[in-house]
Amino acid sequence: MVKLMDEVELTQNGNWIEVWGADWVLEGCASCNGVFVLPPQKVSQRCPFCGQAALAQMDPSDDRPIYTQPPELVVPFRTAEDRLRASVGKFAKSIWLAPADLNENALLSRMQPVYLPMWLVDAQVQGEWQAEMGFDYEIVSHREEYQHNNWQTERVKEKRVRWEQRLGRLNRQYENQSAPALDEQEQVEAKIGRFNLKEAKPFQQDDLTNAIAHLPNRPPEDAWNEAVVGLKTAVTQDCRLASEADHTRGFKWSPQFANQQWTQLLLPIYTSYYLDDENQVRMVLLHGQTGKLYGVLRASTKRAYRITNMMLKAASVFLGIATVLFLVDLLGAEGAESWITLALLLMVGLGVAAFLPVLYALIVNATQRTKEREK
Amino acid sequence: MSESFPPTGFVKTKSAMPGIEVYMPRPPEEDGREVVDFRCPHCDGATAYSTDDGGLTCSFCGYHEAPQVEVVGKGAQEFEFTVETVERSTNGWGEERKELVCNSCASHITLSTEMLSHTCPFCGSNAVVQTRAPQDVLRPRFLVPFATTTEDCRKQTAKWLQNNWMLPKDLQSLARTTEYTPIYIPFWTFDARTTASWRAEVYNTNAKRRRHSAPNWKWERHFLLKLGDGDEVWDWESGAVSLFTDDMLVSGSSQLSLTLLSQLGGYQLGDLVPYTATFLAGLSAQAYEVDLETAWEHARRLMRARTKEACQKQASAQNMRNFSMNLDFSEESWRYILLPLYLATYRYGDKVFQVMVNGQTGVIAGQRPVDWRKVGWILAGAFLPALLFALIAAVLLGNNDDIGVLFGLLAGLSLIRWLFFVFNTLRKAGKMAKG
Repeated sequence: MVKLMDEVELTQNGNWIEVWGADWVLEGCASCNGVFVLPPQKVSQRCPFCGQAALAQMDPSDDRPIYTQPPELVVPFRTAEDRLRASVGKFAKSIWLAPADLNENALLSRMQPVYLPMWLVDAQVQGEWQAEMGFDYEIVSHREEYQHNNWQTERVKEKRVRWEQRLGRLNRQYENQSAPALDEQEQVEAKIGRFNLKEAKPFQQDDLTNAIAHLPNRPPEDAWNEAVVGLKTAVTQDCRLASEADHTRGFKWSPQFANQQWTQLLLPIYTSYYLDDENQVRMVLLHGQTGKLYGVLRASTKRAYRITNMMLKAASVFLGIATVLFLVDLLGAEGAESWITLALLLMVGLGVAAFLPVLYALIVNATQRTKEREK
Repeated sequence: MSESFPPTGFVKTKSAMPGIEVYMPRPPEEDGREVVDFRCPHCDGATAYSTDDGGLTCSFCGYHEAPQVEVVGKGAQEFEFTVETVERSTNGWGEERKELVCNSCASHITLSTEMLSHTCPFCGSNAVVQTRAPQDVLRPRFLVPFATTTEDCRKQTAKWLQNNWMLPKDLQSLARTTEYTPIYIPFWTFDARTTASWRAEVYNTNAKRRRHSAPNWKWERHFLLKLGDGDEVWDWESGAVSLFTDDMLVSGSSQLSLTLLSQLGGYQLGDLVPYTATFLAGLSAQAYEVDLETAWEHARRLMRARTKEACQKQASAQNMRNFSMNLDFSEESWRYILLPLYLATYRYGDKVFQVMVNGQTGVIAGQRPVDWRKVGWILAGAFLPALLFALIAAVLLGNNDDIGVLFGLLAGLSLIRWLFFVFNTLRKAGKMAKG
């Protein structure tokens, strides 16, 4: 059975936090309910995960669960600064009529390294298994060519797979099977891509310099099913190796688990944000390994209306000029008709084009909202 | 998973990972891998496989053990040409047997332990030298049991030795005294698909070309062929052929005459049964001398010749040049089987003659002595009419009688007929002697 999670009351035992840093503090986000551990110089800043509220020290009466299992492995940040700058710059310039706050400098200045948690579980696995194991073997075949009354024989080797039934018993310790520790893990990976867990290394406090760590919001009981899937994959692979086979299929097992130990694996991301026209925070996420960026783009409707307004005013001016020229023409002046026509054309052109910025902003924002919903 | 572990039929095998036990299906019993002692349960005498009733029989007390035959026929397991198989020879004979090498003809015979003295069935020699049986031979997996008895062989031989006027008169008495040795001869069976694409310049008449492009070409065939003469052209043609060859038999023995074997009329592999040592108890069995690779090469030559012939038959005419083809072998498989044969040798005068009887069908083939004196007298007698006609013609023509020309013609015709007779007789006599 799954070992019960180590939930602690914040007030009862605060020593666990020293694993992260001796002077680190625990803060929570009132908007996304995220719980973070962070160095003292980072306290009370805007939530690096949702950006909707400032982090605040957690009240002893706060009933949010805090999972105190220590970090065991960490996937280090390895995105170079110039690559980050390039990604952010490209993102900021990817839209016309961007809000004033959507610029490279603002995004970089708000860039915050954040570690997202994943569960790691160690477990003793016992049980019976059975599968079909595939063994590669080579056969000798022949190709022949007949030309000029002569046969040329070529001996060729072809690879084939021989499937054989295997079964057995298992009693092995498996370590560090990973499972999502955040409800939002799948969404985050859908946006910026999966993490390469093979780069994980043993956790050291130095890895957390300037970073904020998000604590799990998923209990181990929920993550256990996903961990079992990973364990089954690992056991399948080990049974294949035990059988000295090259392939496996139809793996079945009847496992029993014992001695589960839960720890955390930290995944690196950068977060930043910009404010749109309505001062709404728009989060920008960057993969800490690959540098892949995800952010919601919003066109500035205020800028669009401003431009439209200016163009309509210019159209009015041309309307005025056309009216004056019409009056002059009525008074018998020669050659005013062509100027009237030109002024009217410019008026109509500007009047129609004036609606394009607004139309563009509305369409872009609607498209982005659809994309956001899909993510 | 299972109520009891491991399930029936599984045995523990090597595991390359600590903490994981691996079980595999129990390998099929390697019939005969252990030493089998064929003893009578009643009198402890030696039992032997009886070709008469197909079971184990004690020659001392008459105890008979009915055979347990499970016919697998052409469904008998076939094996692929794995690299290991081709390069490796394994196992050996299940029953404890000895291999004898004949000093006279150098043939290898595998014998039961109790058959220490033996007359070589190939040359009749009694001088044999005992050597250790090689363990590096592939095990035969299937065999066709004997379906004819030694009595059938004797009857067949009696008929066979009296069905030709060229044989010596006293030869028939040998049929009663000839001893037949039942022996299992090694054979390889091969399956393969040959897929070929071919290209050639084919000598066509324009009429033929029209015929092949016409939808009702079969109807036009005869007169169009005639019309086409003198209006020829070389056309490039191409095509593809896919043939499957099932159970091509190749002898694994190098001691037996291929000509005699081909006269035995083949074997029906629908009677194949799984190999067990019982079938060989007290009988001789020859281990293969032609190894798998060599036999397969021979079979491939035959298969590719068949495929080439099929390709050439596809062409619109048989007169062709620049013929080329590419051929791929696939679905290749083989079996190592034993086929039943009676071998006998009989001595007539100073010469030894070999006789074989198909142990399944009873078809006989072999060498027979020719009574050359009798043949000489018959040939001389057959010459008499020509001589007689020639003498009559000479006398009549000497008397200026024109009818002498007619006798001269008859003498000529008789001479030609006699020459044909001599040719055919000598050809048949040669075949009989060589087998």
